[in-house]
Amino acid sequence: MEEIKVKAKKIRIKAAAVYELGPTHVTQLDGVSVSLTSEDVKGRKEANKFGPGGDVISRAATQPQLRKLYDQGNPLLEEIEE
Amino acid sequence: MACGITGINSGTACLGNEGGIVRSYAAKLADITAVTLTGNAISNFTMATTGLWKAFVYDRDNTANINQVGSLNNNRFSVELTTFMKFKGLAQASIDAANTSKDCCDTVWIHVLGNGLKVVQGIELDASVTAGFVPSKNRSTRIVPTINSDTSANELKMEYSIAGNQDSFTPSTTLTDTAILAL
Repeated sequence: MEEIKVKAKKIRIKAAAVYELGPTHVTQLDGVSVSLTSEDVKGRKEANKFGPGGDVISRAATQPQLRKLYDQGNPLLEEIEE
Repeated sequence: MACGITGINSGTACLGNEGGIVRSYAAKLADITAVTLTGNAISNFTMATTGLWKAFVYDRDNTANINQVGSLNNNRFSVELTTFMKFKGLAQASIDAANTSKDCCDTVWIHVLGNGLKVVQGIELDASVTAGFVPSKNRSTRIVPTINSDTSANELKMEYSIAGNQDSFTPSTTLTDTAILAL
């Protein structure tokens, strides 16, 4: 019997986004800051009327999070076959 | 955009008409790496890192506003955008803020209008580029601070005018305040 291999698809940041626009990219998903690359990104928020300041770490987005951002139309993401 | 004429009935389409702007957020254009669109509205921003949007809460005295004036020069259309906001009082921190903000070559603002709609000043949508947007096409959107002691009968204040010139009116954004502050 012939074996049928199904190629899994995954979402990743476009190479052009890193080359053209910079090495780190951070966005929000459901009010949580996430990194589009495989690296966590450190940032700092200043205190304002709406909340306290402090260091913030944007964790590398998981595949389900990247999938959701891709489905929402983030132009820096692409779908590839593994 | 391609030519299109859309009928409007102000008699039945009772849109919120509260004037003015009530709060704003600003970032350097260079810190925004992409916009996500839903239709022609911005539904998300991607930034170089987090914490780059700064909140502005100005005097609530019926002076803050954004004005977008379309004009034709011969057959060339453009929009002059000007936002005004006022901060009562003055301290060294205000002077420092004025001196650093005047040096920003390109800024992007989210203004919350009186009726709750949020508009984005300083970028124009362009699906042909990776980021999905380009800067204000005709003149960069910059901050022009003014410090005015006024007279003893009046108020000491700092004012920001945010001015630029574009080919199109400001897009809106569907981001909530919570989402903007999470960026």
